[in-house]
Amino acid sequence: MKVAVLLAGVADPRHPLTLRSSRPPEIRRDNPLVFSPFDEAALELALKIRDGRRDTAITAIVAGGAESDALVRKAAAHRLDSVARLESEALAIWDVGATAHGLAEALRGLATRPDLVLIGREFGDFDDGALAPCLAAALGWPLFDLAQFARWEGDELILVRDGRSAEERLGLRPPWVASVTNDRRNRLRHPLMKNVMEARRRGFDVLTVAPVVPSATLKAVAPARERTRREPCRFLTGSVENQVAELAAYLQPWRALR
Amino acid sequence: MNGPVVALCPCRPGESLDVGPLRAAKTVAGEAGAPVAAILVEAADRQIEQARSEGDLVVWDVRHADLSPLDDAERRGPVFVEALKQSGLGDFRLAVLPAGHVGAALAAAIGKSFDAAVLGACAEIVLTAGGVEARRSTCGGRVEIVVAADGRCVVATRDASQRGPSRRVGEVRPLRLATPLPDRRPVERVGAAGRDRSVATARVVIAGGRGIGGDEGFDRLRDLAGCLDGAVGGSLPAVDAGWVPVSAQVGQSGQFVAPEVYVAVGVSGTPQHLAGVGAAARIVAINTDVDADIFRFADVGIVAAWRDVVPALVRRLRSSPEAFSPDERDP
Ligand SMILES: Cc1cc2nc3c(=O)[nH]c(=O)nc-3n(C[C@H](O)[C@H](O)[C@H](O)COP(=O)(O)OP(=O)(O)OC[C@H]3O[C@@H](n4cnc5c(N)ncnc54)[C@H](O)[C@@H]3O)c2cc1C
Repeated sequence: MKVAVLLAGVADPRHPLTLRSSRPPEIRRDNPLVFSPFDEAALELALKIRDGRRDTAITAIVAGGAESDALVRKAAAHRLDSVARLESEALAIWDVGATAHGLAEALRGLATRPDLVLIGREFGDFDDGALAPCLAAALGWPLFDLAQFARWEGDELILVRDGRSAEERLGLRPPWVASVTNDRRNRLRHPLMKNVMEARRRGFDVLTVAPVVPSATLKAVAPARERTRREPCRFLTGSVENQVAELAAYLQPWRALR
Repeated sequence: MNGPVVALCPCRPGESLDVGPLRAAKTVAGEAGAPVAAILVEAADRQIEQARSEGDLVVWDVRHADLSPLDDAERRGPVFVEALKQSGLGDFRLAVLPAGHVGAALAAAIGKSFDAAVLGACAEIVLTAGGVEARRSTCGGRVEIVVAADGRCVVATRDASQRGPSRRVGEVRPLRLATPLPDRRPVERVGAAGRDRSVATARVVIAGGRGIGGDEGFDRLRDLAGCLDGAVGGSLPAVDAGWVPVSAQVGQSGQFVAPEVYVAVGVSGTPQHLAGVGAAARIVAINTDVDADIFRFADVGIVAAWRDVVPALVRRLRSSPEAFSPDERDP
């Protein structure tokens, strides 16, 4: 099984965001980057697939500029078969159509076609979930979205997710794109220190794709407006018992009917 | 371009219609004087009636001979594409879908078939001379961008707060399709997934965060939800810990909830979490940290550990006199 994992990274949500530029690649450069929970989930899912079958080959592609090199090494520390950075300037990462086509182009350029492409349910800071289906459409491959887990049953790889009324399992007949969401079972493991050191020494390829035709233009970039609120928070005071009584009275109109 | 604005509404049996796309389509079209239509696929009578009561628009009641309620976007996408063509709406300027993974998958299918620009989940959508301009939240809710595209566009929306039902009612036109659909995927469905009631449509949502610390705390939140006819949701760390299913994750990467009351317990109130809570919700926060951001957005707050508050609150609600009837509730 050949698995390609697409990774993007996001501005670390634990730090305030620096917004000095209206160009997304510069916004990315101006902020410390970390893998998003969905990058991590996609990578862990690939590792789980390899745990089950040692002949699984994993290629990770991190989309970004030189500021993303640390993320590439972080991925490499999991002893992947190959890691590369995809120069993202040409992708216009805020443009869903352009990014989908650029990623599809990069995947087509790999020496061997992957059987399975794993991508987080959101890809980087500028995607809200529209990208994975558009990538599948650009490749002309089917999409299994919001995958949570994977396991082998004999020679068959089964992807698993919670559906509306039941757990849904798909036996994979390649090629597929799967978007991955966070789940207790796919929290990214810690790499061994010796592999972290090895990844620091190892080089990696930088892939490029020809600039894709934009499907949209970016007209403005601004800090988000604060959520408006009616009045300052009313803190309940007095003993905990009193506070509970007051809160119960506040919630009374929504009490379930017996 | 003077084609119509079309709301595309995937319908599920037993659920009420998500009117967000319909209202957004009406608002956008109204401002530009463009015609507006809605396509409902496999809608129940109640859902058709809901769409019709939204006002002056044509509601296409679309059914496909080979579509089952369990079919996913892979088979629903081609139905919407065919419906757009056969209803004569293929020259649309803008197609509006519900935000979320189903809407995203349908957007990709429609974008590909009609060579339309997919703009993502947007707000403040306006028609321009040649296309569409819209605002999108990025960088974990910390940055807003304005994107524009010429020609046909597809957007998703989660905002149902726009203009509501009007006095005029829409016209319903049936459309029966039998075009070939892609083969069904061999998806096996096993057992029951979500034990909990859906947060998306609940009037009261009780959300637990990392501060809850374990399954036992979530059991107490379920007790509270039971007292309030509510649903239990969680933050991303609570889902990661396995305390709550991913279908109940609230936030930019999960469910968008628009309850009347949102009780946030052990939730710090990050922009990524609050992006999933409708602006009209009254927020009640219970948190040990008086400086937690959630209190900046809460209407009512208690600074305490959940263990000291939630079980006592449940006891109190269970023992207090008969509940109000729905008519007596606060508007
Ligand atoms: C790309 C991306 C997407 C994301 N999407 C989402 C999303 O959709 N939804 C989401 O929620 N997050 C999302 N996140 C994660 C987000 O950044 C935060 O990590 C998360 O919202 C924090 O969750 P929390 O409030 O439960 O945890 P914390 O921030 O750790 O807060 C826990 C709170 O519990 C309080 N507490 C501790 N003990 C107690 C106690 N005994 N009783 C009461 N209170 C207590 C603490 O004071 C603290 O305020 C996303 C992050 C990224 C990078």
